[in-house]
Amino acid sequence: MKPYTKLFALQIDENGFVFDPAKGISYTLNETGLRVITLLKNGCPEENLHIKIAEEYAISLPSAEFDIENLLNTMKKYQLI
Amino acid sequence: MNTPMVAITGMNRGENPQPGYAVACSLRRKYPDMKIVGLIYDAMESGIFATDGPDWAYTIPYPTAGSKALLERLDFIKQRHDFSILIPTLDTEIELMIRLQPELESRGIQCFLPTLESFQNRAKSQLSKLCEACACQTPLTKLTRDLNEAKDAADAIEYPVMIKGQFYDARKVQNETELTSAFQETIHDWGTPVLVQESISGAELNVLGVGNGLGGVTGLCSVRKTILSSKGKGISAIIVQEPRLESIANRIIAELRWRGPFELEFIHDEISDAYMLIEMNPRFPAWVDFPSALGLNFPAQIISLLTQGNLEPFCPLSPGWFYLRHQVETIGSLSELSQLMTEGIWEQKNKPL
Repeated sequence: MKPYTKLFALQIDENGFVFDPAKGISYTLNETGLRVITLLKNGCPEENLHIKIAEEYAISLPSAEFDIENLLNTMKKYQLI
Repeated sequence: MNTPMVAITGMNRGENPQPGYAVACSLRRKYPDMKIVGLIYDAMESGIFATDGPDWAYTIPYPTAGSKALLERLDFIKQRHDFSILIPTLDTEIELMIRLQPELESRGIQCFLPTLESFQNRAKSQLSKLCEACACQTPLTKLTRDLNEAKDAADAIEYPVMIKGQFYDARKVQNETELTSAFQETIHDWGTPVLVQESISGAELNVLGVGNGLGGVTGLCSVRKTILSSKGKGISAIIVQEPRLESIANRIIAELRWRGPFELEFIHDEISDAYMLIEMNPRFPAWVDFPSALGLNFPAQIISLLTQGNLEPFCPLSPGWFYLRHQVETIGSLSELSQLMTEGIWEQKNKPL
């Protein structure tokens, strides 16, 4: 499992407001984005995220997988994870 | 301990605000009863007329008038208001104040300033050498004295480049036509040398602190500018916690054994992920009251260091606090303007409206 050390340095509140203290840049996550990040921070393996999200939001596995991949790629692009 | 009376320069808060008024506000946070003398160059410096501005204001001659004229004026002012500490806040006056230290001290006026050697070693023209000694990076910079040299430098560095004055001003130019105009304006305002500097794109970050003169700092406040004015000044900034920036700042201050306030300006190079030192200002910035409002009061530290020789412990600032610059109108009367224009004196605080 990846350590996601950068993720733990972020300040994230319950509304999905994300602040990167090293860069001074803020972002917002929608409800599902926040749920994905919370799962990651709680130790859920990246490869299991889509199963949890599909189950919780009653969507198909491919759809959940696609959206999660998009989210994680965006966060990698901004060096947030 | 009696609260000392303090004289401060740089009271204008306009489009390009000076730091003096913010220094006064910070000092009053710790010393509400402090008496403050504003030293001004122009009757229309807006901070004079602000409610929480100086108690009195006096014009002083421009640094180019030399030390004799300045000392005579300071003697006149000190006879009327016996200030014992002077905080210069403008780049153009720091070197003269450093050179005048013995004369000022003999008059019972203390400053908290670097040595002349430290001051000169952080000049824009010396940044490459300083950065090499401190293992940090700075954009490629060439000093030029005429337009042909500037054109050659820009060709060598490759456009776009920054054209900078030795004290103030920075203009980004894309080609030779723009360079010609920017060079002429810069040389008109600030003389030679004119700096031609590699243009780096990325976030702008500043680190504010006070060097204790022994190689250490009394605290640091790092911010990222979030909104810029047309002149590139930070209208808004947010506190960041970036250990790499603080490490560079500590190395620079240790190398210079800097004594006094400073503001380090960086650009974060997005491509190399490096913090590039753009310049080191030998004074407080105009936003110095921002960390003071959060409990890290650098101007008050200077008073403690000068009067007690030590500091109270301070708490590091939490990232995420931000400031937004807010412009208001200050009000002056014809009689105030008259006294300022004819005598160079303003002593009408708490005037009835």
